[in-house]
Amino acid sequence: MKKRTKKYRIFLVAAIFIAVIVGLYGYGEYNRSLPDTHYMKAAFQLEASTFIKQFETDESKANAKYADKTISVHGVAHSIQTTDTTATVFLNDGYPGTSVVCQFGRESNEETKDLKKGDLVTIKGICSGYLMDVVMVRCVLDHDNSNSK
Amino acid sequence: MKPLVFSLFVMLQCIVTNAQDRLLTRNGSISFYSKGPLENIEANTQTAVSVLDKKTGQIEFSVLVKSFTFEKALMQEHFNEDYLESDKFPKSTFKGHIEDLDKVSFDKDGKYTVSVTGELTIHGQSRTLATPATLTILKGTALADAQFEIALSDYQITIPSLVKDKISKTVKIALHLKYEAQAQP
Repeated sequence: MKKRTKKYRIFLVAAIFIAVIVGLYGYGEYNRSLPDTHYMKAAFQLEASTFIKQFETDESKANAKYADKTISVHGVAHSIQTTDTTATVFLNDGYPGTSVVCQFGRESNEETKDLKKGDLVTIKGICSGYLMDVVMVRCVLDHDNSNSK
Repeated sequence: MKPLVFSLFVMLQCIVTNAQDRLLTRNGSISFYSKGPLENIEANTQTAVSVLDKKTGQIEFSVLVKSFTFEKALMQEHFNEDYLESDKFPKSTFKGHIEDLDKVSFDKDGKYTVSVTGELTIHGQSRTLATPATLTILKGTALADAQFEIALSDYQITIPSLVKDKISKTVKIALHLKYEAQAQP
């Protein structure tokens, strides 16, 4: 009987331990926030014009290659539009037309405050695809790759 | 030769006039919100593209599903993979028109409440949508605001049975589109 109780206790402790681990993992996973783009390694480093051209030439091929990937794009800030909580930078080769639309969220929109139209800049973000422009979200200024072009 | 030159001139004039009639945004804001017993779901994007034709009242918008950003990573993954299937249906669109365009004077600053009707396509499913919207005209730009609610089942968005009673079956969508003349930016 004693042996049985001991076995039962070990089983109970193990079960509680596993339940706590699973619970903690589940809780952490459930509340996991999106990773900070600053710390994400760019899968591709591209000139804005090259990036745009690939979507204009073959959208589905470019989507397969770039969608959901972290991309570092170098180009001219052709237009900067801000709201209280967001900023959008239109990155291209300096002329009106198709751009890479870079959306800066609440956490990073402050980074664009010193940016001026015509500035050469490198922006890192997550590619969402192509509408009239190539779209990147969760953007940040990419200081690591800014001198590599 | 002369008729040819004249035709070309007329064609060019039409193109220029059409472009002048159109207002455009390439960073329109769309957000959605649903309040459920288990959890609230909220996401937004500032990358919607929309065109508004001042002359005909035609209005269209398009948004990339993947561009919606959530607070929680897991929610965003489920949204893209299980609910909206963004690899299969990457874009959501709306094509419609302002029913009572005669109410709006695009040359005069002011706030106008209008009715918009059209076809909303989400998750590859198209449904008719009729909603009130507000147009605010200010110095040649137009700010459009609209809020409406959709039922997930209308767009064949299925909720897994495990969380069926814990997630709202409807979603509120809010649009905030700031239009400018088409050449911008």
